Amino acid sequence: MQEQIKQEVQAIFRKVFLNPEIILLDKNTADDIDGWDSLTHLELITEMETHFNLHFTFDEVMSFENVGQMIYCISKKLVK
Amino acid sequence: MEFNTISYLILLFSILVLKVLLPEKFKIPLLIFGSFVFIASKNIESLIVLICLSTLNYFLAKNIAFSNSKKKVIPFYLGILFNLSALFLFKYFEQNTQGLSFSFTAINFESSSFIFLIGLSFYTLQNIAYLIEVYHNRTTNNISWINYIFYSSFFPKIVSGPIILPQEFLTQIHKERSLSSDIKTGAQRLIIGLFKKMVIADRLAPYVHYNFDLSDTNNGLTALVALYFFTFQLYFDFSGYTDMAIGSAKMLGIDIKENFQFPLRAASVTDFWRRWHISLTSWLTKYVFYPLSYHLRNLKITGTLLAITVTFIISGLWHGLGFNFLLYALCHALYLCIELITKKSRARFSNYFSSSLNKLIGIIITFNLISLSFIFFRAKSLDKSFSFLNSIFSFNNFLPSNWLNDFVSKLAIGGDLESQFNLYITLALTILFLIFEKKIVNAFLTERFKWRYAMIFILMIFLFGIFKSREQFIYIQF
Repeated sequence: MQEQIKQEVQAIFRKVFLNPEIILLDKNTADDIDGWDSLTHLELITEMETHFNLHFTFDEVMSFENVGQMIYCISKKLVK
Repeated sequence: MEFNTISYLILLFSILVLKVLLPEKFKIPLLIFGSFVFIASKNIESLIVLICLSTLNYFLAKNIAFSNSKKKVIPFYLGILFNLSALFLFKYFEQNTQGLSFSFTAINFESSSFIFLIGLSFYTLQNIAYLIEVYHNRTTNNISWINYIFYSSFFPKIVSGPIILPQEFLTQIHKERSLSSDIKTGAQRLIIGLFKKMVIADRLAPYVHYNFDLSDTNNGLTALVALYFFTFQLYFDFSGYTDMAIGSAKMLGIDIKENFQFPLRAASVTDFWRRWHISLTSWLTKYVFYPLSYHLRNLKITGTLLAITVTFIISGLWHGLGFNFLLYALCHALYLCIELITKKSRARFSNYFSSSLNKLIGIIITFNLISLSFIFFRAKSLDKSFSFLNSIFSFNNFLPSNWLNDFVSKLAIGGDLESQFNLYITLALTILFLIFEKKIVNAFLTERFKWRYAMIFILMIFLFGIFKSREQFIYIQF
């Protein structure tokens, strides 16, 4: 399941950053992906909320330090 | 006492010597003492205000930390209100009413004197950030009062930042560090800062002053070049100050965050804000933009555009009340909104050019957009701003009819050979530094002290630096 979520998150990243070549790793942070800044961060969050039909709290949004944490949070919410 | 004065260097050197000679347990009291001397050298009232403000914020944070989720709301909002009121009282009343005078004690509390010295705008942001972090349980609250005073009064960052949270600052106190490495890298940074301020920013200052404040009838090109001079002056002045702050702190064993990352090489305005005044941008992003855009995210792009605009309006108000700073902020909000809306079309368009050409075009456009916004930042009034803009966009009068009289002489403040020579020297130093900036900074950031480079820069400070009519740091006014 985790792998499936990762693939879907990767597709969202590619769409938001207009880059079809992005390959996501769990350890990736904003420093690793060109254009990942405060403006695109919220765009990513909104896209993920719509795609997975879930809701992130503000504290969750602020606490993501890398892609892995983001995917873990999504998988936890989907299990519930 | 400003960073580019002999008295500051003597203070820094004395504290450094005492820090080396005294046992470790005296480190914090010594640094607090040094900060108090620095602040009191301006006026004793500032020191009193600083201690009172810090103490109040410290106890409010304690109260928030030890209250339950319902009860902590009151001290939290009280703290925010208190800090904003202090900012308003000491900053905006001074701007609007020629200063408030508190003479209910033997000491005359002149509001204007606080603002200049303790950099209340920066200091308030730090306090607010701390209260928010404590309120949301995102930080530990085991700081002692003496350490909080040490953090809030630490003299290299007190006047104009960079803004730093107590945890980032205080966790460094007891870390094992190499004293010689700290002194070498810190001293190199201090020298670079002095060079930027005294050799570039202060040499450009009279040209900017003449063309912005004294000369009314400029042709378009002269006005545009004078505007570029101001962009360079502001960058070298503020980044020079930051280098000196970071260098001084490093020599005393404290790392302070970088505040600039080659902003004049930014290829978009969005990129510019990742590189310019980073500590303020991070503060605004974390405590204003993120909460706003999170709550407005259902509005999709409209929500983001609204959040950008409100964030920049707050940034403008932080710089000062008045239409000039508001327009400066709105210019940047507009630029970012346009960049966001046109992101996809710009990406498609950029496919037609090579990446290096795209970058070059981006840098040129961004530099011009940023410079145009700085008209509102620099001009003394709204009328002046629009008349300056008008000069730049007067296409009938863009090129000077007489190059020597209407261009060179106006920029150089005089047509004689000496004035022209001084202008050319200033331009050569500015452009050469900008071209080799990355190499110079990288060479000076290493732990190996490069005597040759350091001596060259010290020599250039003595040869080309401005010592007589010392210009105040621009950001000291905020």
